[in-house]
Amino acid sequence: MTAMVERFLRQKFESPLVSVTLALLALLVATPPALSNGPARLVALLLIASGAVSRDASSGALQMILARPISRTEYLGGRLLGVMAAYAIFLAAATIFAFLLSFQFGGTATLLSAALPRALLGALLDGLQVAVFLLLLSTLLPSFGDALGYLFLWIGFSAAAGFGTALGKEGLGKAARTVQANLLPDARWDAVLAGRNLPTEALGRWVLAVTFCFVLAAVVLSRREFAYGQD
Amino acid sequence: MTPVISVEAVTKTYGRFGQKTRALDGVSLEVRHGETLGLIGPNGAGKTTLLSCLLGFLRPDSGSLRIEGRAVDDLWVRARTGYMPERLGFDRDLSGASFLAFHWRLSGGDPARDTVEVHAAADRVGLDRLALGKKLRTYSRGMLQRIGMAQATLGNPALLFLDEPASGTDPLGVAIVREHILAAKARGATIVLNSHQLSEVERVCDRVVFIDHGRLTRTETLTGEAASRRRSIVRVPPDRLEQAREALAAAGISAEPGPEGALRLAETSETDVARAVKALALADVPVLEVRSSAELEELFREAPPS
Repeated sequence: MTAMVERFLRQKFESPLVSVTLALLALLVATPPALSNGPARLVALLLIASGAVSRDASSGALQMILARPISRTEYLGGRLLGVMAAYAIFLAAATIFAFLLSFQFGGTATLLSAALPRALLGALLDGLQVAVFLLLLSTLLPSFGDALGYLFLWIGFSAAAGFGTALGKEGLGKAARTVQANLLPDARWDAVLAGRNLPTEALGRWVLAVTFCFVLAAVVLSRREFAYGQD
Repeated sequence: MTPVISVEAVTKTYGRFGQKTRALDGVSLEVRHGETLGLIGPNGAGKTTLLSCLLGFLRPDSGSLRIEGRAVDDLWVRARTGYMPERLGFDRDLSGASFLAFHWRLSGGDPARDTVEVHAAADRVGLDRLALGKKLRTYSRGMLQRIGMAQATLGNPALLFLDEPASGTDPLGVAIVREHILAAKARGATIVLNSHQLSEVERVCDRVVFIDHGRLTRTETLTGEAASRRRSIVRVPPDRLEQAREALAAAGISAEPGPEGALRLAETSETDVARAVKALALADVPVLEVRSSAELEELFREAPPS
């Protein structure tokens, strides 16, 4: 598993383009209020996690790995751990940038409060949910289809909910909101980690969504066939 | 003797809707312990599909594949397997050293021995340390082929599946691949080799199977007592071919003329070949070459027997 994580980190951070882009995004995330820039964190995660399985499959690397004594679920677990390790490094870099910015422009006291560890852990847990969903899409779709699929689904659910309400089709709006709430629940980690509203319905949904996506990804991967270097 | 690899009536079809292609059509074969089996056939015959089924990448529609009596994707089997794919598009962003170290660890190797094993593997295939530090995307086809061979033989696996291991390499690369296969054979590994380089197949394989349109059409044993295709070939100057035939006939050796002054001897024992060479020398016919060949190319051209 360590080897799988190390390989993932090398794949990501040995690419200068990816490293520079992630550094710029970390700088964006570091701007006050630190770690609260959700879209920048999401873009970073998409950059890190997209193609985690599909690119290995299309390059032929997956076939070489699967010829080794490693199960497909272990491989998937290794990829997920790799994504989370890379994301943790990204968040650590953002935190360092946040401290550097606070020394320059003030606001160090806020960063030294208990809110920072909570924000970091919350960002990681949010990231885990997105990462595992992207991993599921990556077992199904070729190349960077997982990132596109995620964005399309997110936009699709939001649009369907909006259209449903606008057109007076409450059923459509409700269905879209229900799917979105179950597949991509907002666990509101700040409140949960602060010890408020525990346990929440959203937290339960988060646990179910993460488990469901990983198990489904493992099932899909275990059933998939890999002809030579094909998706 | 129980076969190491057992393939029984395997059928594999591609395409779910519309036009279906039957890549494997009732293929059955066995590979014994320590045997090197060559898969021969035209492009699209089903060789790579068979190899993919043996590695567990593809599941057959029907039939069974067992390795050492276990399922092909059993982790015990995989721990003893080395594999080299035809397509070398793997991990282009990793350095050669990282790539080999990763596969060494995946195969269950001791991480503390990473560097030693990586350097030893690179030395075996003639890759220098400088190349090991470079990213695989900068490697030439020949270098990728070499590092592919190095990763396949990491930890001396008991089973080797090689898909066109020498395709695109220079003559030195071809020789390195051959040496690796022969070294693996010498330590008792069971090898399945898919290659279009018939001369190389002939040099390393104990047996070859011909696959065409997904069917196993022919099996030829190339080594040992059961070798059915081995021929001794003596080459003389083309203008002395008739004289050579007469000299051999006078010595009681029947020979069939081939192209470019080649004479195929019906007898294959070393004594008979020595007698033939002596007869030609006594008749003053220069002997340009003496070799033993299974003439796989000729076999390849022949219409496969049903």
